[in-house]
Amino acid sequence: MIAASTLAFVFAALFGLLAPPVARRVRPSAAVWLLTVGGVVAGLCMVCVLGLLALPLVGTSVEFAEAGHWSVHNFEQRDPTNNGLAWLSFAVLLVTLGRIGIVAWRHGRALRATGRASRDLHRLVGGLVILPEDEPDAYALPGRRGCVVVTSGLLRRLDPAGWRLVLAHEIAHVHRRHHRHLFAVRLSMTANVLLARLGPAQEFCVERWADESAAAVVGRRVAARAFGKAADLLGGTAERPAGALAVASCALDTRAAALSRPPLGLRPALLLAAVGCAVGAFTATAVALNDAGALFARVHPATSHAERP
Amino acid sequence: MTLRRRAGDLEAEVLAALWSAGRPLTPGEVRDRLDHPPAYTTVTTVLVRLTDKGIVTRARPGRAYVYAPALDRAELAAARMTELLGSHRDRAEVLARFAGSLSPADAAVLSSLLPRGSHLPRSSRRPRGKARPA
Repeated sequence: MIAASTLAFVFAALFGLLAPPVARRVRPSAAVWLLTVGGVVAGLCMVCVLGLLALPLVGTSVEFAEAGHWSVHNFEQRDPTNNGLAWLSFAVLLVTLGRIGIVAWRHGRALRATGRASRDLHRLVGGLVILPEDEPDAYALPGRRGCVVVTSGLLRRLDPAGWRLVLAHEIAHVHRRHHRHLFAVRLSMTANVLLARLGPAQEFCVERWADESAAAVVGRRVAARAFGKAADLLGGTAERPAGALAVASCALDTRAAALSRPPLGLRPALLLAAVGCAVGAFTATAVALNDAGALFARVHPATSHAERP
Repeated sequence: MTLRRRAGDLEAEVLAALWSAGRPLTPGEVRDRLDHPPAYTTVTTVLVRLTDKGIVTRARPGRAYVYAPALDRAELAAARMTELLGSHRDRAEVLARFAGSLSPADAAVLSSLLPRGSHLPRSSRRPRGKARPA
């Protein structure tokens, strides 16, 4: 059980390390799905492993043993984990579950609020909301029928190719339900700190996916030309002091560069390497869970007697 | 190169044209402002549909009809957005922005360095003015 748990932990950590660089090198739509599904699997595995490592607390507790009809003595003999590790895992598990709960609750509340707003806006003005404001801004409002929100200040500063690019980009966010992918990765990041690098990678890949969808609508060459102007307005690069937003501006530069190159392929070998880590973590967790089940079956007094030579 | 418009895209572009102009436009003027302009009658159809929905208003100052965005609905929508974003900080987090989101620390650094009144998304809300030429 310990070996399988350790293996699951290593595979999940390896996914957290390997998936972000892979995601930046493959087609954005595939990258987003890789990070979402792989992230959720790796996050679940981490939570399961913590639970398994904390099992001796249950196994050696007299109350649980009476209820489940096993012998504490037998359990102590057969279970190789030590109590300190079990208590530590239990504490980490509690904190992790608490944090997941808080993140899910806050995010869910925010999504419900934006869902209500987008329903109201659909009734008022339809799926495209143009705000009479001078600040250039554009975003997608998630919801069952999401909205695209842009300010008139942005439209005034862009040419028609720019409008089409920005609108197609935000429409892609709404149609592809990108907020769900971001939410899933956010939860898996909360499940384990070793998956923390998935979050920034997912934000980048979701934007790249929307960029690629927009490029398919307006044409790649037009998109590459229009992107610089739109990024300037929306990223605020003109007033940006040197170094203050290095990460954000770097992402915009990378996205602009990606649009000026031919689209990225699927790269099955790279994808398989990352998927393999997630599958490995899943398999090892399944084995560990099976071992734990077998352990509890064996510490049953009746079975123990029967096993004795 | 795919230049096919999806349903609703043309409506969005026509609205974008009306908003960016800052004055009422004739269907012909709207058409001139579009990328890959569709037929004149198509633009007219879209404008009539938008007028029926109450998103656009129509007037006839001279010979031809001119169309302008209905500001009251847009202002209602703006008020709804302000209500949404103002009520809770984390609500802004679920919006997928074109340029990604600024972290609170970045935004704080940025606003401390910028002169007042510079463009910084959501840092300052200026009074809503009518469109002025860019």
